[in-house]
Amino acid sequence: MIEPVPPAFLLILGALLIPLFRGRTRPFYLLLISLLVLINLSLLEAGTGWVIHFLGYDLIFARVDRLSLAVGYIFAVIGFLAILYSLQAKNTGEQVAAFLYVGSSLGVVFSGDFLTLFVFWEIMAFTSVFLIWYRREKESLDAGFRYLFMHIFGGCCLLTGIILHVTSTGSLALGPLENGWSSFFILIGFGFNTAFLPLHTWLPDAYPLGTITGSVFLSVFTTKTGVYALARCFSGNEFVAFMGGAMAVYGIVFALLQNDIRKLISYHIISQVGYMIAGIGVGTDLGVNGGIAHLINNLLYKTLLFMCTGSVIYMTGRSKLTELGGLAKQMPVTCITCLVACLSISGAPGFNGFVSKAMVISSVSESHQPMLDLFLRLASVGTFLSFAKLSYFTFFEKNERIQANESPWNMQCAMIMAAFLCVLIGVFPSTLFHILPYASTNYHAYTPSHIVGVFQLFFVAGLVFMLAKKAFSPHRWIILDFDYFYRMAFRGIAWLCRGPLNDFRLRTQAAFSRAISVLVCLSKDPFALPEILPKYSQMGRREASSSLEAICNKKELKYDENLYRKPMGLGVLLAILFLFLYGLIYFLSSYH
Amino acid sequence: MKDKLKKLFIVFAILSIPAGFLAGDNHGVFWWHHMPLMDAIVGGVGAVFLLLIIKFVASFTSKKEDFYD
Repeated sequence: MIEPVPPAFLLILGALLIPLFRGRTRPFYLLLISLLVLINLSLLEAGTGWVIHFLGYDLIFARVDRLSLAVGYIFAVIGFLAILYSLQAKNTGEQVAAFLYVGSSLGVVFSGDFLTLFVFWEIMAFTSVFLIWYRREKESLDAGFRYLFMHIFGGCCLLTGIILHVTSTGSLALGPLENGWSSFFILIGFGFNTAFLPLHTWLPDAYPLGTITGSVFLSVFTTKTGVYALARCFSGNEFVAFMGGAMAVYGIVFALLQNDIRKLISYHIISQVGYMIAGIGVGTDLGVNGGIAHLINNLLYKTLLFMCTGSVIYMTGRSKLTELGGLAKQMPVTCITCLVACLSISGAPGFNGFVSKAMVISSVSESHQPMLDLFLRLASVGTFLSFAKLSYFTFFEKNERIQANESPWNMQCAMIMAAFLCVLIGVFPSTLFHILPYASTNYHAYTPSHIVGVFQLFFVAGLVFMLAKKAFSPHRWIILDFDYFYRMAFRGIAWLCRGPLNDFRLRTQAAFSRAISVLVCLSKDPFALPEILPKYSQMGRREASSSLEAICNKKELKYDENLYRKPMGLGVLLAILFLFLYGLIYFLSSYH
Repeated sequence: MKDKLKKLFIVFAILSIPAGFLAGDNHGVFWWHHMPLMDAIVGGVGAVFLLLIIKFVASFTSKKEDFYD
C-alpha cells in the first residue's frame, strides 16, 4: 500500500519540476499535482507521522487531527481552483512561486512543532512576495518590499517567542500557550499574518497590486494560516476575541471608502478574519467550529470574489469603480458568480456565509459578550452595503464607454465551481459540519427567526443604500490607513540615517583614519612622537607648522625601520625553528 | 425595470417587518434578541451610522491618488 506523504512535500517537489514541462503538458501537470494533493489528503489518518529527530528535538511534519484536516482540505480544494484559474498565466516563475506558497501553507497546517511551523511560515513569506513582484510594475515592487519587511518583522517576533517558549518549557510541541512573554511574541508573530490592528497595513497595500492570478492565491493562504495557528495556540483568549470584533468593523469601514475593487475586497479579508478569530477567541466548541467553518466558507467566496474581480481587470484593464460599470450583460458568468459571492459573504440564506456567520455570532452571544455581539452585527450591515456597492458600480451602473468579453474558459470554470460550492454548503450545511474540529456540535442555522432577521437587515440596509446611493458612490481618492504613520516613521528613520547618523559616521571614520595614520607614522619612525604630539594637543596644534604627512614623508628619516626589522625577523624565525624541532622530537618520542 | 425593482424592494422591506413578529425568537440571549424588529433596526440604524462614520473618516484620511508619489 502507498503511504501518504505530508501534502507540503508533494507541492514543493512538484514546484521544482515545473520548468521541465513546457507547452500543453504544463497545465496537465499543474492540475495533476493539485489533484494528487487532494487524494493524498483523503488518505491521511489521525496521528503524527514523518517525525525527524534534530538536535534533540522532534520535528513533526504531519500532525493530523480534525483541525488540521479541516483546514488542509479547504486549502487543497482552493489550491486546485486557483491553479485552474491561473492556467493561462505562462510565467514559470510565478507558477513555481504559487506552488511553493501553497505547499508551505499546507506545511504550516500539518506541522506539529513550532520549529517546523516557523520554517514553513517563512517560506510562505518569501515565496508569496513573488506573486506581487511578478506584476513587474514599480508600485508592485515597492508594495512587495513593504510586504516582505512586515512579514520578516513578524517572523522575528515569532522566532523570539519560540526561543523563549523552548527555553522556558524545553518543548517545541505546538499547542495551547500560557500567558507570558513567549506567548506575547508568538501572538504578535501570528498577528502579523492574521492582520491584527494595526499590523494589517501590508494586506490592503500588497494584495491589490499582485498579479491577476497571484492575488487569488494571496487572498487564500497567509491570513488563514494565521487563523489556524491562533485556533491551535490561542483558542479561548479574550484579547483575540475582541481583536476580532474590532477587525470586523474596521475592515468594513475602510472597505466602504475604497475605489479600487481589489482593495475593497482586501479590506473585507480583515473584516472576515475578524469574524473567524472572534469565534476562536470565544473558545467554546461552537466558537471554534464557527471560526473554522467561517474560514472554510470565507476561502470559497473570497477566492471567488478575487477571481471575479481578476476576471474584470483581465478583460477590461480597469480596477477602479469610478471607471467600471455596465458589465452585467457583457460578462454574465462573472456577474452571476460575483453575485453569488456577494450574497455568500453577506450571509444570505441559501449561501454558505449564512451558516458560519450565524455560528460565530451565536457563540459570541452564548458566551455573554454583548459588545462583541453588536460589533459583529454592525459588521454584517457594512458587509452587505459594501458588496451592494461593489456589484452595483461594477456590473449595473450605466457605462457606455466600456467594452469587454467574458473571461477565458478556465477562469469561468474555476469561478463556477467555487460558486457551486458556496451554494452547496449553504443548502446542505451538514457537508461542512462533518469536517469541523468538534464533531459533537450540532447547529441549526435555518430557524425562522434567523432567516427573517437576515432578510429584515438586508432589506432595510438596502433601502438606506438606495436612498443614499450618492453618499456611497466611489470617488477618485485614496484613503490613508495606519501605513501613513509607518511611512512617516520610516521617512524619519531614513532622514536620521542620511543626516545626523551619516555625519557621525563620517566624523568617526575621519578620526579613526587620522589615528591609524599616526600609528602608521609612528610604526615607521617612533622618534617622530615629539613632533606629532603637539599637533594633536590644543596648544601644539596652533604651533605645529608641519602636517602629519610632511612629518612622515620627510626624506631624512631619523629611524631606519630595516635596522630593527631584520633582527626581529631573525628572532621569530629561530623561535619557529626551535618550536618545530621541539614538536618533531616530541612527536617521534611519543610515537616510539 | 429599475423602478419596478425598487418598488419590489420597498415592498419586501415593509413585509419583512411584520414577518419578524410571526417568526418568534430562538436562541435569544440578550434583551434585544427578543425584539421582533431588532434586525431591521440594526440594518437601518447601522447603515446610517456607518454612513456617518465613513464620512467622518473620509474627511481627514482621503487624499489625492498621487499622495505618496
